[in-house]
Amino acid sequence: MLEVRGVEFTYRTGGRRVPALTGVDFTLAPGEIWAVIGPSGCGKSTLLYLLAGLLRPTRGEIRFRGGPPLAHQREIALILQGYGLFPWKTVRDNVALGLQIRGVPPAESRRRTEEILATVGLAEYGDFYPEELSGGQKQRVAIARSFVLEPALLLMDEPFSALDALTRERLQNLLLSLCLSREMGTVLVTHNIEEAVFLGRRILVMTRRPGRVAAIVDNPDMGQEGYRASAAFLARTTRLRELFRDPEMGGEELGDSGGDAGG
Amino acid sequence: MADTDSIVPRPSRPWWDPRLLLADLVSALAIALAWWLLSLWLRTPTFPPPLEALRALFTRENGILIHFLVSARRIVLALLLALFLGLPLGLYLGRNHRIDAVVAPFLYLTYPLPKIVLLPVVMVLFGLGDLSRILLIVLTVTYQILVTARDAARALPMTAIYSIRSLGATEFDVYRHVLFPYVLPKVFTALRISSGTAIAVLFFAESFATTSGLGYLIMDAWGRTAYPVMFAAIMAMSGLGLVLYLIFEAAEQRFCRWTLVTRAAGRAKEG
Repeated sequence: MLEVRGVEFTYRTGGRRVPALTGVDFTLAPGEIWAVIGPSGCGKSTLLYLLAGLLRPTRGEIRFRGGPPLAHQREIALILQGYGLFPWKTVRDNVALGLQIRGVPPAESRRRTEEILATVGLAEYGDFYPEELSGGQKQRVAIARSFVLEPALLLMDEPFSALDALTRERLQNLLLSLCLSREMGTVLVTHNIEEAVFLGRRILVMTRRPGRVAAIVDNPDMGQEGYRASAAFLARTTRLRELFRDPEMGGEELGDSGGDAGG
Repeated sequence: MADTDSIVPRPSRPWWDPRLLLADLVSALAIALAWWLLSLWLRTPTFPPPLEALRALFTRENGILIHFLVSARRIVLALLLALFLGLPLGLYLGRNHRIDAVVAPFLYLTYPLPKIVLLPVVMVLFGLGDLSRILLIVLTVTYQILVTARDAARALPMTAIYSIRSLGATEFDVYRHVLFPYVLPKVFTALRISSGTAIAVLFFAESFATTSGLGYLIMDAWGRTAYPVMFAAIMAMSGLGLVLYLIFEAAEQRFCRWTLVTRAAGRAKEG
């Protein structure tokens, strides 16, 4: 469904060329969840912008359903770091915005919005402004805003990094069940090893800037009942953590678990 | 927290808050008291006590209401025109850096110029009627709205654009759903601040070659040494400024309701 072939990206800032990504290759099958993990500044966010069609690769090719991804093509949803909610719109209007832009009739838009708000547990918060919500609730709104569009591909940039450990686990569970039940292709950028192992069917490990693919780790047990508490989960996180010991990979930065604030 | 709270709402009270109204009333009384004491001390017909001016204000023969309405019409039309010119242009320049780079030097050069000195030019070009007086205010206020809107639009975080683009937004959607609501509170502030300037320009524009408006009345009463009428007209002009200020404040609170939302209000922790 999504093919990335030899993608390079170089930022140009005031005549200087800053390479961000080099030689990224992978193929995402429909309904598959991929986690992208790597040290800060390895070009993870750049990769998401490229996949979303907000940036164009300097070299190489990205194909989504046979063509290049386009920002206005509504099969791709993007959840940015920091939620990307608009403080001047209520929760309901934020969630309905994508539908409104796509010209969905108001009655249907209303129905779908209320439905998804109930699904993410915010049925009573429709009239609130984002400022009145906690971080976890804002993230639920951002998830609802993407899912209400029923995209084929969901892109998320460090979705839970600013949340406390308990809220984060709860939202990871919510996201996993939503993605699996809707068979939605997902690319999730994170720098939390547990998160990558819990959510990623495949884990794309990236090096320091300019980012390239260091390894693609298969994670076949992902999505199984009680995976987070299993020995296999522990073994896989330990393996990934060892991979990141290599100074080339960012050293100890990703070594610690749980409580990092991210960002 | 690394969330997009960069667009932090400014906590403020609604204008109908009793504490604010009480404060307004006390201030008004204090000014009247000072005025009265000053008039007692000066003991001259050129500085009548407040009650005498108040009586002149409500004496029908002085026709203050008519002059008030003429002035109000001029200034409201001027402010609306300035808003419809300055806001879209400011948003456009804030969003299109290349065009802004071309226009900005021209703006910087003409911005400090007191537009009021163009009075003779405007009157030669547009005649001695209402149009010239309105245009003079428009010239002054449009700059302030335009520059405010442009600078605010420039400060919009790129992630906000990405966020709406990823929902499939067209350029028009970006203006409608992001840029416009984002700059609106700042534009209201600019309008509030420039309502004072607008009144000043109005006074000057009305003190010349006309027989209507509060500015004319002030100058005419002065010439006739009708000091209570002069002070009544001054009060009416201050009232006009105050009403405009209150209208903008109420409009801001109506159309930018989200800025009143405080972090503490109604927050329920993730349960």
